[in-house]
Amino acid sequence: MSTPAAAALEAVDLSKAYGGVRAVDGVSLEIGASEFLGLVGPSGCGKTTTLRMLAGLERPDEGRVLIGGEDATDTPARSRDTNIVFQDLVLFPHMTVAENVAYGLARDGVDGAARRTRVEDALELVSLPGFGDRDPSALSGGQQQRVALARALVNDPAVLLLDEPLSSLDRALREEMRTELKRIQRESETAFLYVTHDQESAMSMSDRIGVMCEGRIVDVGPPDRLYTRPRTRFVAEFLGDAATFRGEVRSLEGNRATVETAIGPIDAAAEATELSVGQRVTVVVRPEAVSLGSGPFSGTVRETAYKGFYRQVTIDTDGERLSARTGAESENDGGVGEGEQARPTADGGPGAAAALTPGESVRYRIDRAVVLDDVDE
Amino acid sequence: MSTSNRPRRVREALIAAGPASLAVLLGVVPIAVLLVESVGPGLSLENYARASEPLYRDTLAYSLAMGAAVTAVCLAVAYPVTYWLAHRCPARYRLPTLVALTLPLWLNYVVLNYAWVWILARGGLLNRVLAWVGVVSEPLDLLFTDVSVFVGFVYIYLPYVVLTLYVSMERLDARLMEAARDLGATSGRVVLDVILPRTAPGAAAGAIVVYARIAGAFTTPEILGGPGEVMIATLVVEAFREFFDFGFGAALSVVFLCVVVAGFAVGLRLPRVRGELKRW
Repeated sequence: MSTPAAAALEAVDLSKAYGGVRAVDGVSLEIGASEFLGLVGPSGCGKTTTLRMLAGLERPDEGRVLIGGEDATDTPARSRDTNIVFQDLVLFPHMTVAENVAYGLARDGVDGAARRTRVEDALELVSLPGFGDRDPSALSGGQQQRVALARALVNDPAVLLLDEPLSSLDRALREEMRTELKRIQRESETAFLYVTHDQESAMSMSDRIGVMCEGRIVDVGPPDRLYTRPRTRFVAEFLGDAATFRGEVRSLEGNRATVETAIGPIDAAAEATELSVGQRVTVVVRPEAVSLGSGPFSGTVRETAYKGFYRQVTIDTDGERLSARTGAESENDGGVGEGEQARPTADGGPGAAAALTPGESVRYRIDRAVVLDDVDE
Repeated sequence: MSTSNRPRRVREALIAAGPASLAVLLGVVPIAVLLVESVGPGLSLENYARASEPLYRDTLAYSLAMGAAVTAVCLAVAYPVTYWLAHRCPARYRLPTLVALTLPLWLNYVVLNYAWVWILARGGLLNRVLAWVGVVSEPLDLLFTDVSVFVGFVYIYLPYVVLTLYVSMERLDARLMEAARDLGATSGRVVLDVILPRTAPGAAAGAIVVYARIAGAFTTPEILGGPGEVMIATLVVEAFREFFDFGFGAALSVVFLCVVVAGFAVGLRLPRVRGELKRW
């Protein structure tokens, strides 16, 4: 989404070292007012430390934090216009739901009727009206999430900082809470910074995603751009499955490049990078861009795995591996008896993978691929 | 089955009955003897009438006040110390520091008191240091006063309070404090809203352990106390040892016990305290 003129929060060159190790190394990012920014990266990449510095719970060694355009680097957490939703929520166990939600207001000096109304509004926003008198421990995991959100949103922070709050929930509840988070973010018109190692959560909710690796932000952009046109191998592999091949550029035509790789020449999009013929590059292939059945490539099926709505097939071509996805089909599907649908079809149709067995050879084609000038390793 | 089961049940009951009855005997019998003794000879309340004379009433009040004051000071000292220990102290120094703080628990009680005689006497350590620094020209009379008794009590009972409070403090989730700060709490509010409510059970446990023992202490006022204020245990011991008035000594003890137990009972009836204890 577009970034409005005045960013709700801006980090400039934040760095933090622990015992000589740079946990965060020159991180700069900007969150627009009412933007949902995901910050993803593997464990230990510095994303939580970044969040804590933005909240004021950790002091950066270098760099600045600006909130609403004003320098807040030396503002302590309690006077900073940011609130955190912690990973394990940390609701105050000795207070009721209403007391938890009212806590920030009480500290801001909001009293009496105004406080009650705002607590009720906040509980309404998170779909827990009338839960004020409950004990937090008497609530379900999802309800506790909602209370934590209400507590952090009640005093209208400029930015809400969320530290993997959904990681403790089971899958179904997590899906539900993702939708809820997005709705709450829209309705509260608050900027959200959502830190997680779960790329699926980040992709499904974020307007933009920042990908972190070893203390740095390696790329920022809308989820679809990062997924379909990654700029580095790390981003390609971290956001979803990807097979990567090293190779040499054979020919260039507009923003297309033909790359000679171990499995053969691959035609790939090259718009993001400046390339020259003969250059060493990496080609990224997503599983859904591989069609089984026919095509210039051939390989051996190593594994097939049933994933519910698709079947993942791992193919080995001269020692290089890549995955393909095909429609999975239940054995009990009506009308399969005739055999037509159950056999592998030329275009990799629904039944294609079901009949593939490990060891079998298969032909395939690559429909889409991206060239990266990132060749380390 | 039943034939082999029954002897086992009987045996188990016998095994359990021994220690259980011993515990009951040790707890109940002395108190029963005390009660009987206090109304004798010949079932009269004369001893109790004497025990409620102003002299004894004042001593009792003084002892209980001393117990409350020392307990309060112990808690006031133990709070910052255990907070630092559980949440600020680097992990590898935690155990050594805790051991150092509780070292007095392993020493003889009388020796602990005499250590303070040596420190507080007119020619003792403190006065010499003060004179050397030049704060005082004349040595201070610290020993054999309320002050020396108070200091001695705090020193001796602090380790118990530190230990019980440390357990609560260690269980206090540091992120609760961060959450409070994040929502706008000053350090004072964090103490009031998070630290105190979350550690109240530990503080209550510590207070219960030391309060009655301080109020009923004999040795410390005997060694460090002056001729002025007397504590209740001294009068009880006097009644037994010097006047051989067992009935009166017993009556004084029973009154003391009742007042302490009544105090705790009132405390337990407060809903907040009950809630805290239930959590604990």
